[in-house]
Amino acid sequence: MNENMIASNARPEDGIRSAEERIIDAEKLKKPHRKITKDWALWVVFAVFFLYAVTLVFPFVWMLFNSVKSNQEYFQNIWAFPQSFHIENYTNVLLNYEVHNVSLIGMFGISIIVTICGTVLSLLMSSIAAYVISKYKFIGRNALYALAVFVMAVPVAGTLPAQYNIMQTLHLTNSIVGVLILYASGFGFNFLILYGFFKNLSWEYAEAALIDGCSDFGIFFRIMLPMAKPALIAVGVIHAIGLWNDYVTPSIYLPRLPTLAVGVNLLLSELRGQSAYPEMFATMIIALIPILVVFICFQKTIMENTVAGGLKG
Amino acid sequence: MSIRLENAVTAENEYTAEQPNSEKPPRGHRLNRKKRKLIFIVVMLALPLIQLFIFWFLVNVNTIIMAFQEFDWSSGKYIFNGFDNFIRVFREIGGESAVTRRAVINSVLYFPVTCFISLPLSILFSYFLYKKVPGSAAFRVIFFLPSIIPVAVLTMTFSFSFDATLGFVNPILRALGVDHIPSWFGQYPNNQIMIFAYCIWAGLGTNIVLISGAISRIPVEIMEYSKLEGVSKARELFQIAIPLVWPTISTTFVLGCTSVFTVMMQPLMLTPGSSDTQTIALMIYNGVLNGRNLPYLSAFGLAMSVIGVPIILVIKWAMGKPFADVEY
Amino acid sequence: MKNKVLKFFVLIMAVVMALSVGVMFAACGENSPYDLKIAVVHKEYGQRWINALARKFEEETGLVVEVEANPNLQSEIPNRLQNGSDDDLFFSHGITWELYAAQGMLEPLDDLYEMEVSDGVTFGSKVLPQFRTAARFNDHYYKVAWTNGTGGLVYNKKMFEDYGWSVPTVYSNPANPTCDPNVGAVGLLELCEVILDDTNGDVKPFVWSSETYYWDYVVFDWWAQLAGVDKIEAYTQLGSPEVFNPTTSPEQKEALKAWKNLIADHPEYSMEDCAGKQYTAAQMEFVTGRAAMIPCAQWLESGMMGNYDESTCVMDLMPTPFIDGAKTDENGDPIAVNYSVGSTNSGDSILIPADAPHKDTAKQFLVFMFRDDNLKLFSEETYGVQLAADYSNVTLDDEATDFMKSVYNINANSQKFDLLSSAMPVLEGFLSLDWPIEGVQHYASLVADPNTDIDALYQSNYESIVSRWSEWFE
Repeated sequence: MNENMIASNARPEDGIRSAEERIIDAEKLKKPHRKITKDWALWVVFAVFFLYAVTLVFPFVWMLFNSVKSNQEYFQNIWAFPQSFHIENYTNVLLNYEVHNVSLIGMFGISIIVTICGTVLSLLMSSIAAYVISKYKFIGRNALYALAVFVMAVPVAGTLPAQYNIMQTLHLTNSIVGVLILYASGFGFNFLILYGFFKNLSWEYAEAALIDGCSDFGIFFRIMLPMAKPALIAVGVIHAIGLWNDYVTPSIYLPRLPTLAVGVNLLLSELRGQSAYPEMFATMIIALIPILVVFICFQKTIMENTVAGGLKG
Repeated sequence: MSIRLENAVTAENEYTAEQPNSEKPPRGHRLNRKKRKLIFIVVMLALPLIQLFIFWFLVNVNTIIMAFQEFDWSSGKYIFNGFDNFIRVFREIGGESAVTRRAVINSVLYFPVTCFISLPLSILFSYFLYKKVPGSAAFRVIFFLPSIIPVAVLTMTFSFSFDATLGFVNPILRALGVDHIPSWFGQYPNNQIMIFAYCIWAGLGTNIVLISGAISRIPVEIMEYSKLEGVSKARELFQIAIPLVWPTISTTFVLGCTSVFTVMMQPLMLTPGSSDTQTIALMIYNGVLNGRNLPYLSAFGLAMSVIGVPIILVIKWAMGKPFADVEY
Repeated sequence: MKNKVLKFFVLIMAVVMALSVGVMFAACGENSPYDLKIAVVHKEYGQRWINALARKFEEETGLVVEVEANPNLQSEIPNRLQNGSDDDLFFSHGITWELYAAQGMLEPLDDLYEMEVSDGVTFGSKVLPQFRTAARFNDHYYKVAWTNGTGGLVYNKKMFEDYGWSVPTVYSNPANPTCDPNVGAVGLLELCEVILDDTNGDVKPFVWSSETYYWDYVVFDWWAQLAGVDKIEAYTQLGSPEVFNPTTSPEQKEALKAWKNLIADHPEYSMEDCAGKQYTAAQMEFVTGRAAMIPCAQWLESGMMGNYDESTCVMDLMPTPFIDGAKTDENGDPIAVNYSVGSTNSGDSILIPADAPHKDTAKQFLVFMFRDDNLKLFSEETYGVQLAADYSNVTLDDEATDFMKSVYNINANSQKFDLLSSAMPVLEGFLSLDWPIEGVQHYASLVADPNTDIDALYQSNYESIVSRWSEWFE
């Protein structure tokens, strides 16, 4: 069994003691002023966090209470509390809005499918590429990494005609499959993050399995991917939010099946022409709530320690 | 689980053909092993590489070719013109075009802002969230809000807050006794500085999520150990946490470098119509929208990337040096 | 674990396959069920006008018209022209149509301009002359200009009436400091002082925003007042670099100096820190009565509809006051001019793709659109905007707002001019005709530093243009 090779001042005669025992001993040894110091630092940080959080929540709250104002009220004073509550700003969008005969619910459904499938595909491609390039020595691995950086650093614009041309040749211009294939990129932001992550991941996990006769495929799917869960979820959530809000690709390649982002973009541009800001805010909030909900559900998984150990047992 | 905190001799976290500390399998089996590894690499990389080739390379190859062309109005075709576009790019940056020159300078300035202010702040914030500052759960969600709220709303509230007559920042400053309040967005360099401030304010969330994700992988025992030994926060942060999540930090650092070439939305929304807060990506975007001189724009983008990417790769190599062997 | 991941993956793929099959079947059913497809950039004018026109066209001809109002159309047009689409008509801003004409992607419209709109009146004669010449490239017509924009100083008519202020007709009349119309012409400069006095400084004369190009609509009118529209037309031809010589063509420089004298030298005449203000914020200040005037254009009223109360603001557009030295006609009266907003470099365009499936129907629609009753319909549905056509046979209804009537009157009574050009340096993006060389406006920098030497600025611009002229035309 692996020993805890922690460079520490633990005395040899301590032997193998449980963590709890050691903590209890340490508590006894602890000097009182340490506790106060620790708390003091945390509370200072709390104050900083609180101030920063207030400035971040502020735009959201501002948008929220302006979304129920009438247009006139909004133009009169953007900071005042709403005098009347125009819920129709929300109900108009929720109940009546449709694009190409697809209702808001329909757009929502299409968005969910496109986002989930697109994220899964991208994560799959990126983790495959990141894992292989970070863990396996072969000619060209550094070139591939450099290529990934290049992909990220090229300010791309004006490539739509070329892209559309290729999609046309492949008969993919009017299907979800086309959009998903475009989304299934393995060499972008996700790749770079996952590369860094896999680089950091100990190969020892694989060695044991290799000795046992496991194939490389098995190592990846059965050991490495599960280990990568926190990173995958973190990257996945960020990527999913990006896909949820993306309207350029779906508007061009899925013209008859508008995603929520496409529908929202059209509606916002309509409202912007009338400077109907309260209704714009209501629309944005409707589009935003699902993301917020998803993030709240996942943030615990991302940010809290869920992996307590490694190769024990 | 083993953690090597001292500099070891070799990085053993990569698969090599040789397997130390284990018996060499019989000769025939080893050839098979090498072959199987090759098959694995090829099969796994096939799909991502094909997708990259078709949907990135083929799509962009046209842009790359166009960088070496110019439009011939008499024939209505694009013709080869060598490096003329590139020469023009460098002449313009050299001073022939104040706007282009300023755009490149602005873009480069995003590097220190992102990598030396935003990123360290994100690391600090992630660390303290991990240390369970009171209210961490709520803070984690709130810090990520800017990534969820549409950038149009964020920039709007930001601008409105600093408006001289409609906003509340100026009245607060006056109440605090500040006499001469500058024009926040009315002139250069103020408007660019405000854009940087906005980027820092709104840009912490994503990095916090990523770094927190990395920190969460640190085995609990290590943090318990520091608690036990009474290790100070500073020491824990700089000598334990950061080294352990270094690959993620260096990756986000590298991504911060790439932002030099892609930042565009913030100046577009905060200072529309301004010609002195442009960036490389924004210039290209505006140019493409008008459709004027696409070959020149292609050359511009390409030139910037061709210069910038090697620099980024050198940075990445340098960032990879410290703590190279930490793995767990 | 592998089984779980794999199962999930297979499930996703199955769902995707099923969906895409379903979509393909659905898409198969559509077989261009319409006779005409129109794609419109969806911006300030909304889409009421095109829907109204389309429905009326359908009634008259029995054809089916499909309208697409797309906010991103401008960036999609290059793709649609290059790779083909089912669009028959594009209505777009700011697109370099000459590039697509040169590549044969646009349908030549020579026959359209000869078609009859009504008895004996050809389409070409309905199009305003300035926009006819600008629609030609390589000896053919390739586009139709979309709008004839109108801009200038929008003022709060209700506020003016409440305080008894008169609309200024000249830039400055020092002999009339109280702005009494009985004494003489009312000057804009003097009016600013009167506004500040009468309101104790609570209301500022001007509000504007960091999108300073709105001032162009006033400054360019002054430029044309000084130079005459013919000289500006010659300027757009770019015959030689001498058109930029500030000694022989000082008019734009003088116009800018007049602006500086009004705004940059008098920060008290504008609301605080306008150069740093958002455009939306400037609009808000204007419609809530905190400022008396705002430089703007024909879309302001339709954009602000419903956002303000008539008790605080009734908006109207004033003809740009005449600057000292404005050209006069044979009676000694200054000649009214007005800049066609949006007509810089390539302007806004109506285009027919070369491989449009229903070209003849598209041309038929355009002929229909330029009929007098439909010119009027367009204006009504856009709250005052005018197509780039001859509106002399169109009269507005009495219910039209003051703003709409002013837009109409200014267009009818002014010599319109534009900055459209198909000269090489403009097409290639080397030169921008509004603010040579790079289209950099000087408003914000003049406010930041009123001591800027405008003469030196223009001189160095000129010298720079001269030195690069031959390179631009090679």
